[in-house]
Amino acid sequence: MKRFILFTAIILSASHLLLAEDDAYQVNLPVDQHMALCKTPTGAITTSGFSEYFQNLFNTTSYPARWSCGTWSEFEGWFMIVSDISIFTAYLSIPILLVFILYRRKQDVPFKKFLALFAAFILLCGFTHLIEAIIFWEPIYRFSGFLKFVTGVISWVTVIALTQAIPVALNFKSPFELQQEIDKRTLVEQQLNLFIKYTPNAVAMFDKDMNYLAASDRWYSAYGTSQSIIGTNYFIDSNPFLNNPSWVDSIKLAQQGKKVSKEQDAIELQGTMEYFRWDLQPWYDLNGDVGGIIMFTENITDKVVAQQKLEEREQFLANIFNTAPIGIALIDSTAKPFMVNGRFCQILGYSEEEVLNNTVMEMTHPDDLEKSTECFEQLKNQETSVLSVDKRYLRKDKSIAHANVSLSKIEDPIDKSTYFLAMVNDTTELVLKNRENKQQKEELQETTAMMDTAFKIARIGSWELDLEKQSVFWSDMVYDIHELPLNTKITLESAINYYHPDHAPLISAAVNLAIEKHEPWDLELRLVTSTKKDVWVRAVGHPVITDGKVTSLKGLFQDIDVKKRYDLEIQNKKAELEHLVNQRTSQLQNANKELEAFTYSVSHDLRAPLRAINGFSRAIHEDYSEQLPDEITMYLDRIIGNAKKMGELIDNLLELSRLSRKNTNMSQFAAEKLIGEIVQADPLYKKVKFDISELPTIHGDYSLLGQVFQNLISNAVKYSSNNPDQLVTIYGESTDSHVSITIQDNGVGFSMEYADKLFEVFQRLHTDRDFEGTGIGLSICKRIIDMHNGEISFLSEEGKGASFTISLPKSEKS
Amino acid sequence: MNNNLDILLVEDNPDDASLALRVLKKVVPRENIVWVNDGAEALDFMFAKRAYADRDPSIQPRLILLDLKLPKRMGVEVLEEIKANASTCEIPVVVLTSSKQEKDLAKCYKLGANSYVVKPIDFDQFTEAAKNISTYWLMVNQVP
Repeated sequence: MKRFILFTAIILSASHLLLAEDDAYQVNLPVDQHMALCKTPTGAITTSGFSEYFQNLFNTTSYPARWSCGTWSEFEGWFMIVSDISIFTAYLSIPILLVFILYRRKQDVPFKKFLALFAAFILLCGFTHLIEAIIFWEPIYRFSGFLKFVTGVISWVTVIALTQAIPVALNFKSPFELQQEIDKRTLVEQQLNLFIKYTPNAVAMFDKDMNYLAASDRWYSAYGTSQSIIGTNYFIDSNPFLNNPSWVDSIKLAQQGKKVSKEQDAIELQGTMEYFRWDLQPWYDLNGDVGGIIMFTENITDKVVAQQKLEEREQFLANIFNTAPIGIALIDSTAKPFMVNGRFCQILGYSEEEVLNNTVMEMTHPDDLEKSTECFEQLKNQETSVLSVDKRYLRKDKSIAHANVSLSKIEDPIDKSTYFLAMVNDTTELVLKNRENKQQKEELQETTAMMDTAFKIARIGSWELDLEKQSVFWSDMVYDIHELPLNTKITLESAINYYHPDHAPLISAAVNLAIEKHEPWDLELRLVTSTKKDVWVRAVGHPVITDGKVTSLKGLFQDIDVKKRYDLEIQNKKAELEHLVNQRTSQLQNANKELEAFTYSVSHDLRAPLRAINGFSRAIHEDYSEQLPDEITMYLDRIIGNAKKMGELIDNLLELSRLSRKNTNMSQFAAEKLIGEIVQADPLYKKVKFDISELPTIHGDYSLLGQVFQNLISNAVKYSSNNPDQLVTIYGESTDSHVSITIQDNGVGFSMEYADKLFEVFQRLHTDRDFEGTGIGLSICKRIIDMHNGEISFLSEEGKGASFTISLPKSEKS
Repeated sequence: MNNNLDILLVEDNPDDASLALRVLKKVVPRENIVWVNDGAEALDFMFAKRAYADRDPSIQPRLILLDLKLPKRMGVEVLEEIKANASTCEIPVVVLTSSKQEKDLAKCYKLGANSYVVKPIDFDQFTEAAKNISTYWLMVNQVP
């Protein structure tokens, strides 16, 4: 287009120059011819100078119209006029067309200024031709001159402009050249596309909105897509990469013009972790702005997994090496270890660092150094490839490690150097155990010897009956017990025949039971020795079972004659004694029964007459007291008193006798409650001052112990009744096993001289005149406390009161 | 025969019986008290047999005072029969005994004795006891 416009402009300019020359020629010629024909009009003005010229620019007085100057035929004149007007219209059209092009093409128009200049030049040329036509009627020569001047100036400006545009114009390529260029570029584009297509990597190019511009075949195959993705957007929902925010962030960084890449990156694709090597690079457009990104991705999952597996395998092997229950060491030719496992260090008793800084020989027990060195040299000199040696190491703590060492020679596959593999097995425990076993064996021998002696003293022998061979083995002692010479030939039958006829069947039965039912026996039997001596023996036997079948019988045989005879004697004595005890018991039972009958009878029959004596005496007293002399009334009172006292005696005696037959009903209860009840029950006690401190819980029969306290309190009250400051003190004490309660009074007391009589029945330390009593109460107390496995004790001094203490075990068990 | 029968006293000991009667007649009229000597007689009276065959068995004592140690039939047997018979089982029986033997006591309660009193030797105590028993069982207690 540019070229076309330039060419047109040049051609038009050139043609016009030619036309302009023609014009000038035509104009000039008639002037010369009209010199004679043309008549200058009157009042003509001639101008000399620009200001005058321009003031009279449209003044036509000086010149005739062209029609009037010279001789114009109609045809000549109009030919000229039509030609001029046709040039004018044509020259007017060209700028209009150019303006139209400018309007339509808007920006994409080269040489805009030049084009405007050219349009002005043509327009002006057109107007000069229009003026030439007009001059036929109106002789506006001065204006024509001015217009031509202006046209001339513009024409030269155009020429200068053209001159300057020449180098640019020369550089314009021809359409052919352009086509060639296009072909060349198409080829390069194709080459580039092929280059991208066959790149052995997944590569894709995106514009700045992440639309696909190009992608390699590898890309399509890697992501299961095809060329159809070109032009589509990378950011679509189905793209699994987009679930990784870090990946999306990386893309954004690249879009901002940063180069981002990673040698190994874990990316989650549809639930599985895959590894990628990737590279994101921005590319720039001609303006230097980011045009989009180039994305390179390589799925290296297989590689990474393989690498991981390799590492795991390596770790696994290292673990095996490190945790092997056998010591392993790689040793160089100077016997210095350079790689050891934990067990090796453990056996040698050094830290790993210390092991690596010593030679094996330095850690070897001095006594085994020679042997070790010899072995190592043998291996080094290729006399043998594998060696095993038992040796000792001297540990850091100076203890000794016994070990079995296997050595083999190894050649390094890479640098071909030679080193040695040592496998060390700790045999310390084994060696020590062997020593211990030896010691145990010796001890066993000792024990066996001791047992032999013991067996001899206890007269125990052993025997065995081999059922398959039908042979009998007896130890020396068994022969001795039988009083037979050693090695006398014995069979099962002959052995049984030595038993007493009463006991032979027993041992036969036991043997049969052992063979058939596999039952052992342990019997004490009578034996008749070869010298016809009758001795007791203990025969012990058990079957030896192999595969469910009794193959032999084994056992012990002991002379227990002395012991057995003692036992029998004891048994006899025991039986005699038992008989005696039974006899005595039944006698006692009879006596007891009689006693029971007696007490029953006493309670009924002795009381009846007393009731009668008492009752009728009272009847007399009541009915006839007014008629009787005082003396008789007094006698009646004495009869009544004595009968009453005898009743009490009988009651107390019955109570005492019944205690021996009574069972105790034991329970745990508070002594405070029981004593409180007793003290409050009797109206007589209301006048007495009691001092009762806190009392312990006691274990016993509530009602029986109640009787004891009743008796003791009643005694305390009774024997202190003559003291005006009468006081009964009751207090308790508790030890680990016992509780005790003491009842103390400040009464008459008694002399400890008679203390031994205190608990005897009917024994009294005071006369009835001073204090009434039956002499049975304390006996009852003693009996009850005895029944509780407790103790009753007292302390007194005449005139200074008495104290009675009962002590009871805390529970029946203790 | 008296229709107002209050107490049947079963007592073999004439002394005890006479002393008991002496007290009881202070509570109820003497003619309302029947005294029998032994267990057999007591049962004959209760069930109108033999010597008492012509007695009206619908008239029964309101209280029986029963000694345990009796000739012929023991007090325990008498108690057993009285309590076993539907017509007499509701009559309150107070056992009087000079024994404190616990075997007797347990047995009597098991057989249905309503009360158990040990005859005290002290006459005053006996008087008091006999009076209290009779008053309680005759005046206070309501037979169902």
